[in-house]
Amino acid sequence: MRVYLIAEKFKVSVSYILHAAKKLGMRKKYAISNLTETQEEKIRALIKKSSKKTAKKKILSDLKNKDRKATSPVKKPPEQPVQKEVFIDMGPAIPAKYNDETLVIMPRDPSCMFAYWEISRRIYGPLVLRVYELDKSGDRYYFDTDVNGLINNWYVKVPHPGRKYRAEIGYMNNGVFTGILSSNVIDVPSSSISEEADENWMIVKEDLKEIIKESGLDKESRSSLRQAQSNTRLLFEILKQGSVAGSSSSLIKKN
Amino acid sequence: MLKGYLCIVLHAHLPFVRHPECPDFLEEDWFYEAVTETYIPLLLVMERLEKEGVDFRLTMSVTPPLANMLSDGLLMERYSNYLKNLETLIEKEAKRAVKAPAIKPAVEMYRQRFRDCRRMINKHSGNLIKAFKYFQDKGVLEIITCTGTHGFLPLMSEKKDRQAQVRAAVADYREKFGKSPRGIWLAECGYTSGVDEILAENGIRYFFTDTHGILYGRPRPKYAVYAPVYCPSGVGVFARDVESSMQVWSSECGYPGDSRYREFYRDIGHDLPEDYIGEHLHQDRVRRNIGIKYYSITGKVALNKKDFYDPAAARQAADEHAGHFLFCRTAQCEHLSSALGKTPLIVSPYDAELYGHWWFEGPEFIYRLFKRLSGQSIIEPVTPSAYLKKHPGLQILSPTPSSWGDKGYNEVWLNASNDWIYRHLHHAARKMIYQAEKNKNASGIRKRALNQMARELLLAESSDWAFIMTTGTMVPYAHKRTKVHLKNFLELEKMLESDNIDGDFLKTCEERNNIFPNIDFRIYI
Repeated sequence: MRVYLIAEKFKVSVSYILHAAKKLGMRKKYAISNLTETQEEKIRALIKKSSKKTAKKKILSDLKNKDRKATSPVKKPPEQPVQKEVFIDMGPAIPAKYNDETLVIMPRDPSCMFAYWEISRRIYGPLVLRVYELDKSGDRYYFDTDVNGLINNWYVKVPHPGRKYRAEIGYMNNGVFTGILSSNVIDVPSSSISEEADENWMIVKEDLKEIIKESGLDKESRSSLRQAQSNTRLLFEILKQGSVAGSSSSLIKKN
Repeated sequence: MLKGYLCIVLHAHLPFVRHPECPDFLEEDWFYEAVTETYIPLLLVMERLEKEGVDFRLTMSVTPPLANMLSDGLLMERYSNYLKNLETLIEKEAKRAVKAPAIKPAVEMYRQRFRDCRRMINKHSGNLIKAFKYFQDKGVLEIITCTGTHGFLPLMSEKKDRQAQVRAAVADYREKFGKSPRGIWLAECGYTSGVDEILAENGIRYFFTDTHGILYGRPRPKYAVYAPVYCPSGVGVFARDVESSMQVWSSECGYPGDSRYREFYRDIGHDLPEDYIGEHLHQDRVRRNIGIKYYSITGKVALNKKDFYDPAAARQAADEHAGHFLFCRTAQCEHLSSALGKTPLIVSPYDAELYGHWWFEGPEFIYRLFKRLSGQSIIEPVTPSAYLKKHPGLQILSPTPSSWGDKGYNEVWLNASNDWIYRHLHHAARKMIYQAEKNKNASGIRKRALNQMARELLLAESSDWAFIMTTGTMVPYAHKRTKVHLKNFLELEKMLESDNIDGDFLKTCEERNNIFPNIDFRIYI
């Protein structure tokens, strides 16, 4: 379950849940976005325990204060109201919405992507995020994720590393999907060594010019013979592997 | 007999932190500490190598935010005051050391260090960029740039937004170093398809990825990561070698954990009595690290059981480690060259701040390494440019989207702690691109507003803020910086749109967030 939904359920803040998750060792380096049911139970237990503890503490300290007030012979100045929270500057408020309908997807890693959206128009059914996997000829297939409710972002598992994906958001009405917004296209990273073993080789033209210059093939620079020899040999080696083509750079196909 | 090439890359970066509105701003210390412990010590190492006639080849990225801070009058003036405090304190400590001989060698070392820092900033009239430029012009140091504000390109939604990060960096590099950058360190090695084309359009010849960026590229790399490749756009790619990285990075078995090295967590800011050290702390007098530390790592013992630091023993350790590093590279290259049938290139990139700030003896290690390298001919230190020139024929390959962050992709900058920032950043980027196009002939105050909008957006895009939100320390500051720049951007955009620009507000923004003094908003077109 999503962390913020749990926070709502337990009536505490998201950071409280994250803090609890850290305490219980569920969260190592990162904040986590989802919790399993058992983890949720553990957090619920912790919240219960700590709320009991604070209640107990409060009673004890109340008692103590009473005691002190009753026995101390010294007159005390009227108590100052205790400042409850230290002010922490988290910066100015920024808009929650921009009245700008958008759907954007971003790759997180080879198996997961993040989507966020803003929709202001009326919709006629539960909201659905439709993710398309692409190949060279277009959409290969799609899958749907239910994103209905008061949310505007979601992490979606993607089935195949190293492929292109795009998404649409829309609503379902009587089993019919009506798309509202279309997203950008992303490249999901690969997670393994490529099957493709064909090699292409290249010399960038800028370097080629320089080699020719240094090799003494042009008249200006015939000073260093040894340098020229080694560069020429090098140039020869590369060139004999294939023919030079291409506009901005020379492309060599190796067999 | 040559068996391999070694390319040492130091990535020097700090987020742009500059608060003229506050005379004693805590986070500015990141910069002052790094100047004292990393940047100047690295310059001192290069100075020593030069004096001793050692030929070396070092590659360093100086990111635009760092370059702008190193040449900022206000920050360097404040650095001078920061250094003054340390100079006063170490003189007090020298008196104390008469009765405490155990700390004497360390005190003398710090005294010398602070004197060197003063000399270095005086020599370059407070602009350390000149010092780096000097070594680049000598041909021993290759300085590369980075995305404009260390923006993480894979998570930007617009091509023009990514483009602006690169263009801002290239223009700034030209201003600072008097020529165009040959290479770039993509922030966090963040690569995604299309980035190489932007680099090509801006005249950049090469960049770096993490190991898997090339290893998982298409087609399969013939020489794994031991030779650079070209992207289809013709931009060269160098990938990180795992073995040499681990030797330095690893907290378990890495060099920096040696018992003779300086202990980071015992600092006189915490150790000495309040009435003695108080005046040297920040105005709030909260105890924090000051940068003077007298203990060695010693071993796995409690902080109060540490031995005193012996600078000579630590230098000896650095020399041994440099020897070990070279021995391992030699063995690695001998193995690789017979396996590959080609002279391998080992690319070893590190965060520069690791050297000196965290690993105090790191710069000394670099010095000893280059000294040892100059005395043999099996491993040859190279810069990427020199390698490309010598080996122009390379395999063509499309790298896979990747980063050098934890887990290797985008999760460090995209998770539940920071994913909220992107809808705002992307919105601002779209607005910026729209306004730039619409007002491309703007002049006067409208042009200034557009330029400032570009600065604010670039600053909001610094990947450092998302990173800090993930790691969990100093989080409020990261939130604040993200929101402040976004807010400034949105205000300015509104003023521009209604053609009612508040000159005072604009001026305040310009004075505070003055990165890229000569920016041209048309980088967004």
